[in-house]
Amino acid sequence: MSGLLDSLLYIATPLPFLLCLIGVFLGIIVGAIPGFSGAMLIALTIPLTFFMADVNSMVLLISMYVGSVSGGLISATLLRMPGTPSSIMTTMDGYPMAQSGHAARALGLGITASFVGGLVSWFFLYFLSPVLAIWGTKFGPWESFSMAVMALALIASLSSASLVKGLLSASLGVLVSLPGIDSSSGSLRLTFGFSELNGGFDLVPVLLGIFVFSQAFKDISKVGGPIQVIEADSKSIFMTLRDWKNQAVNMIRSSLIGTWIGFLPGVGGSVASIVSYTVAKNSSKTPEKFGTGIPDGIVASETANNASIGGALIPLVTLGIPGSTVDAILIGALLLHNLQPGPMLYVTNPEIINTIIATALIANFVMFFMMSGMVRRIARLSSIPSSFMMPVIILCCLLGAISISNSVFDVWVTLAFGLVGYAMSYFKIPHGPFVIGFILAELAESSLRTALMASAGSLTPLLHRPVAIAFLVVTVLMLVYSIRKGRAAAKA
Amino acid sequence: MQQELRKNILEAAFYVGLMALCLAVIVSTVGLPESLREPLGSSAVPRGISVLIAAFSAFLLGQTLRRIRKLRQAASASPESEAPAASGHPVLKTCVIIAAYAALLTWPVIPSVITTPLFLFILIMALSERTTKNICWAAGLAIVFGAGLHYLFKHYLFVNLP
Repeated sequence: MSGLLDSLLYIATPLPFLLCLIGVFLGIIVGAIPGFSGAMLIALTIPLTFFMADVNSMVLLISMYVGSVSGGLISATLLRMPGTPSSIMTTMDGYPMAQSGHAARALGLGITASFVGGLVSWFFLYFLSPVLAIWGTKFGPWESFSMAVMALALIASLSSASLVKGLLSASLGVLVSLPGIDSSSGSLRLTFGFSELNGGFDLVPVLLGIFVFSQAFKDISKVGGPIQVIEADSKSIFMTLRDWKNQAVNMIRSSLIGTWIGFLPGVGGSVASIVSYTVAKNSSKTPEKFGTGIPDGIVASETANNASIGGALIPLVTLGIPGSTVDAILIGALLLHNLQPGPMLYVTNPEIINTIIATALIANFVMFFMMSGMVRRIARLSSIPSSFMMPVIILCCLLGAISISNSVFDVWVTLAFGLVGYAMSYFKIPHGPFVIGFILAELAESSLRTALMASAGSLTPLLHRPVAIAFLVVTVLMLVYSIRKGRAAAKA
Repeated sequence: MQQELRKNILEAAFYVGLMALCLAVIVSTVGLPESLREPLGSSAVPRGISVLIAAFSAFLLGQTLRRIRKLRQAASASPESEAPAASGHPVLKTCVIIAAYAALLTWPVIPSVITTPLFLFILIMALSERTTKNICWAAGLAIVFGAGLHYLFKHYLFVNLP
């Protein structure tokens, strides 16, 4: 508790608080602009945090995360274009409500729901994390290996309509992580004669290419489309007492759904928002009104997507397993600062864990006040043409890619992965499993080889590790479920 | 329909490319030393992953080829073809401009303080209509962001720009 209090007091000092304000502000803007995402912003910012203190960089990145998930509400409501995938269900009721002349009410409901969702999931983050971290310290190499495999299988099966495409993406991520010096034998592999690859692909150029460049290419391929923004007045931006009474159950239920779905490795806010919206609709006395602009739909979607942030941060801080794509990038940021994510981070760098938890809370409050006060102005940013914005972002990417190891080779790496990412989007191959595969591959390979080394090549010890077996059973069940779901969809 | 067909052909080519990459990975691991302490060694994981990627690619290639056959049959049944979409290939143009900028950073004939704003100006102009207003905006943004970002990265973040 004192550690958290220290972190809260630290974030209240001028520099970290300013970083929190900047992070939330930029996150909201990026979230509000369709085509941009929190993953893009955070990937783009990581090179800049290289020169910052560890705790300050976490304050900035977590604030961006909170802001970006919340900002998606603005364009979903005013443009019928979800700024982030997690706001996709907000368009169903947010836009009709805005069109009927209640844009401010729609935004107000969404902002408050986001705030409540973030707050409830924060309690789970704070109270569950230490328990899980203690459990995580008991993990041996078999558990680490099977946990990484489970995380990959989960994201591969849930992130795309096609299981095979999800698995292909995850496998490609693993393959990209392999070039360089093999840590077990010390021999060079898959460098194809490029001495720049002796240390492997740097995380930042790969992330910038896959997330930022590919999205920029996607937006560039459709520049010039008209953008129409519905104006929102500043009246009725806050929820009334009646709203609170009517939405209390919906908010609590959606918060719990969001937190739980966020907690599952690889499943992000978009799934949370869809599940929560569906549950709210199914349990409503007037399900036929969903999609016509009713408050319940906005509240269900926005509460759940913000609740997924706290949920997704739990496996990140306790086990070093990303709960979502953005969390995978945050793991990359920790690695860049020589911090090893996982249960031992609680022992070696508790201030980092406390900063992450404290920032999630403070950024949630900052997001609430910032969005309540500035939503109208932020909405106008959605109309800046991509043809002006994308070149500036591309330039930031290129310079950011060079900055990590001062090597122009990384510009070529970014461009190459940008094209790979663009091709993947074009062929509907999800990016999430790729990044999580890239990040978890080393953990999976080194754990498996360490385990096999200890058992002289025998797989028998795995049978005596119930947690590892449980992870592998979940993996198999998830894959079987996805295959059956795919077959059922094909028949329909 | 022609556009859909073209997309599927590209997708098939993508999977063939991935299978070729897997083959290259497997060949490149042939000379890697075997480990004495555990059974996997340096080559097992790259080989295993390559086999998986090749298998997934082959499966998806099969699906794509079936789609191509259906689309071809449908296209021959209805001979009136769509007019090709008018497109200036903005992604291709962007890639060429980025590659040119990267080449100028790799082989610095011109200092990057000039190439950076120039790159930004050319890229904005390549993606927007050539009106006087857009040219003024592009020039302004190129100077402010191009020179500004160059200064920030070179002098504050100590990036080794030529």
